[in-house]
Amino acid sequence: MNDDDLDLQRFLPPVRPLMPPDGSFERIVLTASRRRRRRLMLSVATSVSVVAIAVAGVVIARTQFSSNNGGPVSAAVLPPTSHATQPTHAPMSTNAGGVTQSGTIVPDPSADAPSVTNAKCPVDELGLTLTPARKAIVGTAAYEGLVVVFTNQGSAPCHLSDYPGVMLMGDSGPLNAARGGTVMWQDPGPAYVTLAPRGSASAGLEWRTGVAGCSTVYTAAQVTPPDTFVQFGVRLPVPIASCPNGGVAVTRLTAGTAGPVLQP
Amino acid sequence: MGDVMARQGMSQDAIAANLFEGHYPRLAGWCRRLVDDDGTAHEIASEAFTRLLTKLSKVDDPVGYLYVIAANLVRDHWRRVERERRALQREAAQPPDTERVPGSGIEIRSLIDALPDRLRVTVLLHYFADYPIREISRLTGRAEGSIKSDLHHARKALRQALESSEAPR
Repeated sequence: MNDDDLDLQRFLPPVRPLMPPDGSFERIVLTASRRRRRRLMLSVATSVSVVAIAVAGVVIARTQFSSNNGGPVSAAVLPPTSHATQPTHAPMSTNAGGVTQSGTIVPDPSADAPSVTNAKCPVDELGLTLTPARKAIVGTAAYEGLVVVFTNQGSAPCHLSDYPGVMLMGDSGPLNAARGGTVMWQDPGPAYVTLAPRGSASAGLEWRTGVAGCSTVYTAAQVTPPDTFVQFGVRLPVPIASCPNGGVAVTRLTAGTAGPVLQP
Repeated sequence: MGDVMARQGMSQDAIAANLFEGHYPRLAGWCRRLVDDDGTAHEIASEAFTRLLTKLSKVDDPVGYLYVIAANLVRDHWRRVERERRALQREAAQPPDTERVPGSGIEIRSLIDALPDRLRVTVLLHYFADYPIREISRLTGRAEGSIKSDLHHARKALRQALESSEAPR
């Protein structure tokens, strides 16, 4: 039999339409509406936070600038030649904030927070690293972990959300990490993580160690960023010894490179 | 399709109702073929529709989106069922279930479930949702050549598994 002759459909019954239960459309519309509202509120809350951080940054920058010059600064009262008397550490270029040669106060662009974005991170602009995390004893069980870190290598902010896929590769075949249900990590819960350029999001991967009969060794992994089908093949920084039928779990993504908070 | 309907002046609500009426029964039936009961099939189809309606205005191909989401939900369901089955076997200290009927629906599901993610979604969309290669390429953002290669590898793996399970014991 040629590969192309394989008729998989013969192994399953034909598709028989299933009529929706009463009221299911209304329930779906209601649930979708609630999710949209929740997402909108999350987006607004993020926007407000970003604006607050940006304003705080500008205020701090202006305060520091004022204190460097012995008091509040107004563009109107600065003499045209003020740049000649500025201390050497005072910024003179319009790129770094402070006072320009024409005496205009320019906010430091570096104080601007990354803009909120609905753009999903393009896979080809994501970097991936795995770093060992500390071991943990929970009850009578020992756990080890890795932090799975995605970094935005593009020039625009983007977002990631939910769980990455992690499939461990070993001599006895692949093993998919369960999503959620981690013991040593606190799952951060559903959230969009916005990655500024060079910003990162990370998830915790854990496995139980020292279980009798669970010595299958995995030395590589295929990691799939959320909502994509593209897999990153990586060699593990430490070999994972686990049960061949489970015991490996991954958390949702959280901001930063340190992974989610460990259980106390 | 969403764009077409929007261009025809239909409101989002009308588009949603239209999609639900036209595609829910087949989507739920498609799910039913891949899971064990009507309830789970309805749950998966409803969740796929909920996710679609959450971002309807941003989806170019609502029907394709529905099947991709449903394929992923079916995969998650299979994993959950398999985990529970193994946990129950461990609890009962029983040997693994070897009484599967070769070539049955259960058997083919477990064989497809054993495929890597990338191959599994492609197989589900192509063989069980009748999506042509070009459509799968567009839906998954991968090259047509890669989809063809995936299908070839999946067929090879499934054929070998089926032949070995059908061989006289």
